[in-house]
Order: sequence, then structure tokens, then C-alpha cells
Amino acid sequence: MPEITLPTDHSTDPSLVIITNHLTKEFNGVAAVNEISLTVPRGKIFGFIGPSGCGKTTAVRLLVGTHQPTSGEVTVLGRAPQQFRRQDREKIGYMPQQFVLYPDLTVRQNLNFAASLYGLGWRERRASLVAMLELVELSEHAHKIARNISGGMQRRLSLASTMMHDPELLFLDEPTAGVDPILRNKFWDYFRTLREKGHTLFITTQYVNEAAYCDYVGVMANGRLLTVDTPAGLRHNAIGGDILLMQLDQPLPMEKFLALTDLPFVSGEINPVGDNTWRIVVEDASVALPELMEWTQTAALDVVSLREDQPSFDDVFLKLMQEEDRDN
Amino acid sequence: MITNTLRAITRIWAFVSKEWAEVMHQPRLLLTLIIGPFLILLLFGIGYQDESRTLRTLFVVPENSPMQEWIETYSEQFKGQLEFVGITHDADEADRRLRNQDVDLVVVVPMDPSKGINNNEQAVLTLYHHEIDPYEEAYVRVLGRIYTDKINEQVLIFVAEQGKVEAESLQEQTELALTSVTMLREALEEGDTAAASSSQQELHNSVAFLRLATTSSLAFLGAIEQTSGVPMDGETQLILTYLNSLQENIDTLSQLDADTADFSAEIALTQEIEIELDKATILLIDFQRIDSHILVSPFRSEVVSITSVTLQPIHFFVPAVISLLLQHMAVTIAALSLVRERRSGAMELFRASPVSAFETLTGKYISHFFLAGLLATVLTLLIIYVLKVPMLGDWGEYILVLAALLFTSLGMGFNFSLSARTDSQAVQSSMILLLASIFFAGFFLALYRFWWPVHIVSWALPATYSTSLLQNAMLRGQGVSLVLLLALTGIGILLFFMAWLRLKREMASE
Repeated sequence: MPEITLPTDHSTDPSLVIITNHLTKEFNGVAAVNEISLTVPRGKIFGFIGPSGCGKTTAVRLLVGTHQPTSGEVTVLGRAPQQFRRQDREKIGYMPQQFVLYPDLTVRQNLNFAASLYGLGWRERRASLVAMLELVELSEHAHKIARNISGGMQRRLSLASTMMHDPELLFLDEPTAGVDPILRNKFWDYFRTLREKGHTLFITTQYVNEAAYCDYVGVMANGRLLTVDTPAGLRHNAIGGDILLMQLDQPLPMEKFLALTDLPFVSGEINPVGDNTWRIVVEDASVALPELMEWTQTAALDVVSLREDQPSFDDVFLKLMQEEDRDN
Repeated sequence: MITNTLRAITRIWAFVSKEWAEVMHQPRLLLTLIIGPFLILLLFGIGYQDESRTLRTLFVVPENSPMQEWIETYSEQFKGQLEFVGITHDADEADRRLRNQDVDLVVVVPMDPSKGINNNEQAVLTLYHHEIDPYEEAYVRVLGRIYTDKINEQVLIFVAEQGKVEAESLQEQTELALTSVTMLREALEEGDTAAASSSQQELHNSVAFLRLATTSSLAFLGAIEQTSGVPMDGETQLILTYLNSLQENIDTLSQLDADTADFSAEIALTQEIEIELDKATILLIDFQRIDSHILVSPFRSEVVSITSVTLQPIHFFVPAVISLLLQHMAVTIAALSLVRERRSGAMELFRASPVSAFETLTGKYISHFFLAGLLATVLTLLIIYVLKVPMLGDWGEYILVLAALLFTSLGMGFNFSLSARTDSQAVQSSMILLLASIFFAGFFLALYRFWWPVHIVSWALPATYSTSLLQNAMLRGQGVSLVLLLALTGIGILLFFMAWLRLKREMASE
């Protein structure tokens, strides 16, 4: 389980492309982003998950430099966004939440414009244009007016225009919002392709299940960063361990239930989930699974099935939110 | 360094090509931008009628007034300006009809004009109207003045005609004097002093009467000479000189000595008198020949423009209309430009990208400048070749003025755009500017009509400069005023820098 740590000297670690330390942004005295501290390693997908209005977009704007922090520190590609030079901005791609391209221009003209903003010459643009149109599967629609293509195509066009200048670091603000599940999967395929090519992606999303596609996940609520972890680590920490599902061919007697709770590898609650099936929270599923099988045999219990269960990220997210509410 | 410059040019060009592509994808918009202004001008050209208004006029004349006949006769002379509705004796009825707008003008003739004149007072013709437009009211005032001038002229013509009748009798007196002087000479030649004395007395009486009558009859002619300061062939003076000389010569002949045998000196004198009387007769005949209208209105004016072409009323308005239309168009497209980028969220994209405020603004300036320039070209061609508006000046200077106008108007538009939060706010700003320009840029009211502080507003409007510059260039064929052109360009440069700084601030981090 990889550990996300904050190095002592941020600027000297080239493996970290984003570093924030108590980053805060207030609007009229209200904190939209509240003391966020995180690091994002190079060549990874960092997912930023949280409910609508929790401060994800503000956080992205602080990272791309369109917003100035009220307090705290932020370093992106080794430099504070407020001090970005042109060369720094050329390494960054930013896809805002809404479709901000020009509806009266064709797909090709929009991509050309986006690339020109980054100073790409005609030859570079031409090469990149073909590649991007292919990547987002819009080659056949290149000459269509942007307003006449579907919403999904517009999102793909936005994504392609963000990538036209081949940025090192991509900030994608809810790229899959309002996109159908099939296209959403395609998007994540693109993102993985980009990661394989060495790009770093900072992606915000409302879809909790998309956390599973990220290398690291930051969970935000009410402007605060609740946790940063790998998807597996997030799940483990939220639930308090791994989950085993055990189905018996008969009801579990009380003395056996009590003996089960006393087992050393059981770290959390044991709850019935119906049809003689029990949900057991254990420290480590890989260790607990054989030991539990052995205990059932000793206890003369007939097991129909015994397996590890992966709780959905909805459950994980819900749990984290409940904890956040309780803390508040 | 070169790479950076090339990249900057690429970024500027990104905006130029983007703006053009957006316009090209909206052919209807393009057509409206080109054809719309021209149609407005065309309609103005066709619709504008340079004709004076005919006022339906009712006369209120007291019963049995001698003026009634005169009014009926002379109303014909004002056919273009007055439509003779009729004559009434009832002032209340006239008032009611004026209030009901059945008539436009009521002229009330004084009860007894001669009484006032005898009392050393002018007789007053009162013109009642119901106009609310100050220009129409001024028109009524001018018409009233012309009308009374005409009446006064008719009175003078009458007096002049009387003078000419008197001159006719003078001619008869001259002929009598001639007969007397001939008889005098013959009597002197025969040495008949008694007959000579009798003839001399007759001659003396005739010339004395001539002197008296001529002085008053020639008063008109004398007045003309006095007013102009230049004698009209010195005719008046000549006649009077001849008559004075005649009088002196005749007085010399009054002392005839009956004992003298030689009257050769007196005979020579009578011959001289004959010649002078002949000359006086010729002059009096000349005086009679002068038309009474010319006598009472010896002067008239002729207006000749030193421009080489005849200018129609529409021609005067065209430079102002071009200025207003191009200013409005440039201001509006620029005003909407940045607001839309901001509202669509594209501005956020620019802020995160390497594009600078200078590059953004320059790109937009260039694209809008050439777009507006294209429209200005088409508009100019249509005006010159379809509306046949003359272009007397230099085309290069014309282009310079339009370039300065567009540059400055775009600056104004971009500054509006940076202040506006919505499209409608941007459009409202450009509409207010248009309204201000219609009133204060010299479109239909000359600048001198305004109180001086208002001139500050006038000279803050690009259209004020271009209207003045284009009028001189197009209609007078004069070179453009460098001061005005530089002032207009200076404002444009100032607005560019203002817009640049404001955009820079907007594109910086919040």
C-alpha cells in the first residue's frame, strides 16, 4: 500500500509535480479550499473526488494559477503558479468544467485555435491535429461545426484541445461529467494511455467509482481534503480493514458467533447480510481467509462459500462523508 | 528570441483567424453588417425631401378692410410656402381651427394700419401657430418676416410708381423749358428784349419747378447711391448739377439791358441752357425706364459655392452617417468580443495558457480592424457608385481618417467590453455612445450650438473628428486637418493602452 508523504523540501524532489502545503482560498471570508496539503507524483493519475461545490474546481484553479491562494503554498512543476513563465504554462493543459470552445467554429478550427494559443506552428499543429482527432475518434467530424456535434463529442473535443500541445501535466476538471458510461470508459482509456506516455493527470470527478481508475485519490468535502490514498488504501481505511463474505448451510449458533468475534484476525464488525451469510471485517483478507476456513472446519460448520468482498466506492465515500459529518 | 517572437505571432494570429472564421460561418451576420448600413443610407437618400413646408394659412381681416383685396391678390405669390385657406373676420373661429390643426397658421391683419403709421408706429401683422418643433417655429418666424418684407416692398413699389408718374410730368416741364429757352434765344437774336425777358421769366419758373420736383422724385435713386456708397453712373447728381447750372445761367439772363445792341454772350448762354436741358431730359427718360421693382429692391443676392460640384442635402449627411455607422459597428463588435469570451469561460482558458493580454488584445484588434475595414470599403464603394456622393479629396487621406476612426472606436468598444458583465450591458453601452454621437458629433446639430462644456463630450467621441475630417475631405476636397487626425489617433492609442492594462489585470490571478 503506497504511502503519500509530504517531503521536507518540496522543490528539490523532481518526482513530485504538484505540492501544496496548507493551501487555502477564501471568498468573502468563506474558505472554498481549506488548508489542503498534498503531493502528486509525476506520471500518475491523481483523482480529486468530492460532492458538487466542495471546492474541487477552486483547487484546480489555484493549481493552474487563475486563482491566487489566500494562504498556504503551492508549487506546480517546481514553481508557484503565480510566477509561471510562458514555458511553464506551455507544459500545462487545462480542461475547464464547461465546454468553452467556440460553437461557430469547426472541430478542426477549434483545435487549431487551442494549439495556436500555445504557440504551436503550422507544421506542429497539423501533426498534432491528426493524432488528437484519431485519439478522441473525431477524425470523421473534423469539418463539422462544434455546435452541431453531440455533447459527448464536445467533451472529447475539449479533451483533444487540452492535449494538442502535448502537455506534461493535465488538469481535467470533471471531464466525464454528463458523459454516458461507455464514453466515460473510453475517456479513462485515454487517460491511462496518456499516463503510459509519461503524462501526469490531475482529474476531478463527482463519480465516486472513478476513484478505482486513479493511482491516487484525494477526497474533498466542504473545502477540506479528507484523505489522500491509493484506491485500495482508501477502501481499507474507510471500512476499517478488508471484508470477507461467508455463507453457511445453516444458521450460526450464538456460541459459534461469539467465538468468531474473538478470533485474532477479525478486526471489525460481523454483520448478517441474509441467507445465512455473514459480512466479516478482517485485518488482512489474504491472511484471514485460510485461517477462517480452518476455524469453520474446527467448529464443524458447513461453508457454502467464503470469499473476499470489494465494497463499492459509493460505500467508501459514504463512510468518509459520515465520518466528516460526525467530526464536524 | 526568434522562437518566442514566432510563438507570440502565432498566438496573435490565433485570435485573428478565429474571429474571422467565426464571422465567415455566419454569412447572414456578414450580410447584415454590410448591407444594413448601406440600406439605411439609401433609404435616407431616397426619403430625404429638401422641400419647404407649405403652411395652411387662414387670414383674419377686419370687415371692410382695404387689406382684404390685397391679401387675396398677393397670397398667390407665396404659393410654395402658404396655402391660402381663406379669409375670416372671426378671430375666435380662426383660433379654434388652429387648435384643431385644421390650419397651420393664422395671420391677423391690424384693424387700421394707416392709423398706426400716422402715429409713427409700425402696423403689426400677427402670425399665430401651434408648432412645437423649434425648427418649425423658426420657419414660421422666417416666413412671417418674408411676408411682411413683401408687403413693405409692395408699398415701396407703389411709391416708386408714383415717382415715375411725377417724372413724366417733369419731362413735360423740361420740354416747356426747352420751348421757353428757344424762344428766348430767338428774341435775343432779334434784339427783342421785351419778348426775351418774358421768355426768360417763363424759363425761370419752369426750371425752378423742375428743381423742386426732381429733388423729391429722384430721392429713391439718391438713396440707392447713398446706401451702396457708389453712384449709379452719378445720374442723380448729374441731373441736379444740370438743374443748378441751369438756374444760375437763367439768373444771369434776368438782367437784360434794353440798350445793349450785342446779345451774343446771352445767346451763347441760351445755347448752353438748351444743351443742358436736352441732357436733363435724356436723364429723366432714363430714370423713368428703371423698373419699380429694381428701384425698391435694388439689391439681390446670388449664392455660389466654390466647390466644384453641386452638393445635394444627402451629400452633406453622408460623411456623418459613415462615421456614425462605422463607429457604432466597431464599438459593438469590440464591446461584445471580450464579454463573450468571459461569459463562455474561454477567458479562464486564456488565463491558464501562455497567451498574454497584449497578444489577446492585439489579435482581436487586428481581426476586428480588418473586418470593419472590409465593411467600410464595401460601404464606401456603394456610397460613391450607387448614391453618387462626390469624393473631392484624396483617397489616401480618406483611408487614413477611416483607419483612425476604426482604431479608436475599437478601443472604446474593448473598454466597454471590459466594464460590461453581460452582452446586454455591452450593447447598451454602445447604444448610449451612438445616441451621444447622434446629438453631439455634429450629425445634425453643428457643434457651435452647444454650451462650451458640452464640447468636451463632443470631442471625446470618435465620430466628431471623423465627421469633420470626412466632410472636408469628401465635400470640400481639402487636405485633412493634421491636428484632428492626430487627436483622434491619440485617443485611440490611449484607449488601447487602457484596454491592455485592464485586460492584463483581468487575466491575472484572482
